[in-house]
Amino acid sequence: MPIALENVSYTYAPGTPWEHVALSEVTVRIEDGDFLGIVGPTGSGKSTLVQHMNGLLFPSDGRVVVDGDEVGSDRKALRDLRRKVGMVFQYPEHQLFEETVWADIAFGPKNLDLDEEEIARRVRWASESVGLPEDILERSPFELSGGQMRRVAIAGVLAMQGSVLILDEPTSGLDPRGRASLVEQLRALNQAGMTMVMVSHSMEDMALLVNRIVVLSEGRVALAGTKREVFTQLEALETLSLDVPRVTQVMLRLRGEGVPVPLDVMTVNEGIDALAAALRGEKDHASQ
Amino acid sequence: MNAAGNASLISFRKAGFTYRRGEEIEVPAVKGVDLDIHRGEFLAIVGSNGSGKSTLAKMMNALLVPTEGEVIVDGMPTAEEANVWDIRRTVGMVFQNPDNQLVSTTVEEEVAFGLENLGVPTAEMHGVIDRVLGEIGLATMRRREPHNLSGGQKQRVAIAAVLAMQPECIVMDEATSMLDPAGRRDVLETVRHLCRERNLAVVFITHFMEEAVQADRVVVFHEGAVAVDAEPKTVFGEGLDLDEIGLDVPVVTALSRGLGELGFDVDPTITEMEEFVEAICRLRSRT
Amino acid sequence: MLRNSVTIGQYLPGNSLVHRLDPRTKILGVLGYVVILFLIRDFAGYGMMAVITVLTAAVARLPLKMLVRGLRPVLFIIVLTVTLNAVMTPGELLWSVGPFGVTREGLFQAAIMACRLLLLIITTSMLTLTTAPIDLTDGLEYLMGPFRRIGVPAHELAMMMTIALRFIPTLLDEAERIMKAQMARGADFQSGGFIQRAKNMVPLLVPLFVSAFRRADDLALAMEARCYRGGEGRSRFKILKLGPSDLAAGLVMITGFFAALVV
Repeated sequence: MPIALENVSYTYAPGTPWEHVALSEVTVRIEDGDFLGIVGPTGSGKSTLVQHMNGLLFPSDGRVVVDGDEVGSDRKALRDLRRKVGMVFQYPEHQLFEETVWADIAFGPKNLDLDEEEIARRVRWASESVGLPEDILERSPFELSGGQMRRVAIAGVLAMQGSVLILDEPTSGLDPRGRASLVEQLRALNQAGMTMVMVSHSMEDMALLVNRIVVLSEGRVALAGTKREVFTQLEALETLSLDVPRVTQVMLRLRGEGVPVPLDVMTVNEGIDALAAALRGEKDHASQ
Repeated sequence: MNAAGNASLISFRKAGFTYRRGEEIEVPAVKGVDLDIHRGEFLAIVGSNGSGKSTLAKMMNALLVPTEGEVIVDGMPTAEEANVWDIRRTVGMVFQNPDNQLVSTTVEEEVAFGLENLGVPTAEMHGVIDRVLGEIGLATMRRREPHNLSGGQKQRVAIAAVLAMQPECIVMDEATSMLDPAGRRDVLETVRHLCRERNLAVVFITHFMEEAVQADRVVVFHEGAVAVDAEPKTVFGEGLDLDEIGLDVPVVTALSRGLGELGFDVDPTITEMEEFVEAICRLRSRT
Repeated sequence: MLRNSVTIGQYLPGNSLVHRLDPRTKILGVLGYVVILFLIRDFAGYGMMAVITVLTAAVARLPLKMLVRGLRPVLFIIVLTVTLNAVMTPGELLWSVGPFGVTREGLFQAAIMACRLLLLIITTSMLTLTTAPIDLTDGLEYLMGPFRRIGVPAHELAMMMTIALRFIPTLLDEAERIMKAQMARGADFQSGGFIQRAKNMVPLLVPLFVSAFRRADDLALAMEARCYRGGEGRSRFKILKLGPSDLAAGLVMITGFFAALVV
């Protein structure tokens, strides 16, 4: 179910003193099964961009096409859209409100007018997908730890069982263990077939999860392509004040010292292999 | 006093804290900790969420009073109520949520807040505020409103607000957890500068190892107790299973370890970029 | 954005003489105005008061549109009061509509009421149009100061107002985020009757309240960490000082009020 933004522009508060062009002629295409990463400095329009994908915002110019249909303000169509395209906001635990975890996760499915059995199935599936133990379902979400609350919130969106999941800074505020665990779960979801879009400042998360990246700057698409294509454009990224994964920075530094390592290294494991190869390769040469 | 004669500013003596929820549920968050924090040192405390490090932080400025043992700040036991305000003047604190510690409607007034609390005469306030804003690089933002600032800027305002009270120590209680990478760098750089230039003790509590290894000394906190108390260089040599503790290692350490496991002669406890580059270059010159 | 469409107290930033007056002068001025307004019972007096209002608005460079805007929410009350006064005052009957009779005295009363209400509302809204909320708070804190002796917690009230003002934009941002998050889960904040819509607000209000309480907790801790212990022994950063224009404004007002009473 592809999503396409065609020449989308968006202006906040037009005609007022706070008028601000947030997006300018942005074209993005997302295919089934993609894991698209969206990066850019703060204020570059990332959140505005993703809110067009589930009809929370409508373009001032250009159009958004989801699954062949243009996104409009028809209420019923919007409901369908939000069933298909789920969104997890930053610090999603701030939206929990029900008396039990079960009820909160069920909120989404209830809004879809599903029957009790179906709702129950979805609640169980969703909480399993995020690794929540069964005994947590009867507890109040407010007595859980921060990490658990986050999982409940994500489960609440998963329960809508859409085919696209949009995440805004999903790992922010989590400790290393929490982050590793969530990254794993997101990867599993994508591998099971869910199309995902992730806005994040963590280049490490990007390196581990996405296959394609769109780089925004001041409301425009500055760079786009596969993960490798984008992360190897080091100069362009530096001009935009954007980071690359720390491991890539190390490789860059070593290159500067004359070590023949490739620059498209994005994870620690790739780094170890690349360094080993470079060091062994030289040894082989020397002994010839 | 430690061997170097550097007086201890904050001392934990078998200090512990147990939260009481209702009659039965008792949660020991901090257990029997012995720890010294010295004047002018940059100490990092790392631990995963739930390790008790935030509780430990609040014991340093009497926001929490130990339920066992004692905590002494500049010679004053935190358990004695009469000392509380002097202790809080000596040990300032910046909290995790940038928004929820700013009470005023402008940057300038936020910095003035602490001075007002201390009863500093109005005439003196302006000089102090000017100086502090200049030092933290916020001079052009004095009339800005908090909701228009980025996370990193808000935290720097909070630091300025604490600095105005002329503390001997600033505790950064996970002050970078909610910031983006740029904001984290700005905040870390700001407190490192303050530590160096003003001999201010900094207790930097974080779960990012990359930040922790930039300190003079690292304390790894796990399940309410000190697991390791060492210099960054030796933290990873202590046979510590960081995975089990729920922490990560800096990238260069992970690379060193990985290469070590493949049979290369690399010190697996390297924590700094420069060290790592040197090690790799040395390996190359041998082949 | 929600934040930009909600203007607090309709403050219109400007640099006129009126804007720059000490907030205490303006608050006391408005108080005096209201008292005089209720002492006057003739149209000549109201005319004088209207002149004062128009002159002040002119000096403050306030657009007519803004002044009249303040009347909209209370238009219904004005019309109601006027009508009730017209028909319920006993006296010489002028004409009748069904069981209700409009009397001469009634018309007179109605007119008086109308004048009072219009002038009252327009003038008090001029206060909030020309004074930033934080300055109003400072002014009120100063004016309440002398009443501390009889137990009025002036400092605490001012502190509460300042914190509320500081957090309004933040809370509005959060409300917008929560609303969008729930809408993304199929929540509908727009359809349904009154009761249905009230129920639909729960997913917005509960998280907002929970968050507000958490903020309050965090804030209290942060304030204590910076040695806050209430108003005792506290000094002030911003000192309000009366200037020559305040004196002048005061004189003008007193003259005006006197003239209105006497005319």
